[in-house]
Amino acid sequence: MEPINLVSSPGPVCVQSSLAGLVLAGQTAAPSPESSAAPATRAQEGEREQGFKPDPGGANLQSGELLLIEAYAAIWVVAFGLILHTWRKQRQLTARLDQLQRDIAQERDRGDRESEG
Amino acid sequence: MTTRKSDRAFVALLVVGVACLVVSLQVIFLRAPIEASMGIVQKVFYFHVPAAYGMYLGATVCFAGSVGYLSRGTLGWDAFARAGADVAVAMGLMVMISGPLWASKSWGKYWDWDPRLIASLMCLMLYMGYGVLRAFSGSTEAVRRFAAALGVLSVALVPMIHLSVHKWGGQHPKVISKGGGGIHHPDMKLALALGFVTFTLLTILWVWQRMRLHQATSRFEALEQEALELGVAGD
Repeated sequence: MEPINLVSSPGPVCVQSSLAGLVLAGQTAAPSPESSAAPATRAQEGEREQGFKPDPGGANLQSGELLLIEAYAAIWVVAFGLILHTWRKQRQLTARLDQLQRDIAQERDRGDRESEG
Repeated sequence: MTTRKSDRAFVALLVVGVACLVVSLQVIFLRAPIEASMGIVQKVFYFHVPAAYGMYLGATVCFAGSVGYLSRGTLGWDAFARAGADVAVAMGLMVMISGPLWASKSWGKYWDWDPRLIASLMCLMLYMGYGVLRAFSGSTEAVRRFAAALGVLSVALVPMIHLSVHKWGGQHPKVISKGGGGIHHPDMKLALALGFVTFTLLTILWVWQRMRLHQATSRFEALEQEALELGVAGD
């Protein structure tokens, strides 16, 4: 790769280009003794950039307070969930009981009418 | 016990249970000290362990109810077994949610294939299966007997969960069991003791409430069937 000509790069953009050029020029002009291993190193760097790796001390970054609140909130959600489920079942049972009562009343009325008739 | 006396006893137990819960929360958050190595997240322990104990109680109730139903064949025992399974599921969910939240801080991960964790998950899934079976298979004699057999067999997982940490090791801490590190502060011990009392009362209340519901449902279904046979009920 050709190094950027610092002199022929006018204007503000040239500062960034120049810095990049310096880095690239350094790589090109003065190859390191490990230059034979450079493609492998670059491949490793590429992998590191594209893959996700956990931080071994990551657990320390989590808030203990938040986890505690989440745990207790979950316990309450489960507790109230069971209470809500019981309440819904009782409501369904009451509705079915009301229906059965209506059916029995209707049947009794019909029986009365038939006995009168 | 008459219905009125039973209602009064239930309300009295509910009042005591709520009072215990309030005192328990006060001791856990305002009195018990913060643990030295784990920090504040250790306070999950005061409800996590009693919830696991509640799951054991629920499973034991399901077992007792199942044995009662298989030997006596009455709907009351069946309702008792169903109530126990319901409570085992609720308590098991509490354990399986609160545990990983603690583990994420302590172990750096939410889940590990640890013997105690696997046994607890299996226990929860078994009682969930029991609940699904009862919810979607109707309430025939055959279903009740099959569920009772399941209730008897499922309880085998309870001692397995308890002994797993001693027999097969794993990462799960054994703070209060044999060979564990123990609790080194009286307020920590008090918080845990109150947690156990609260969850025992909660288990009794839930089993009672669910049993009454299942019993009422069974009696109603029998009555409805009778009404249908007599041509009283429309559909």
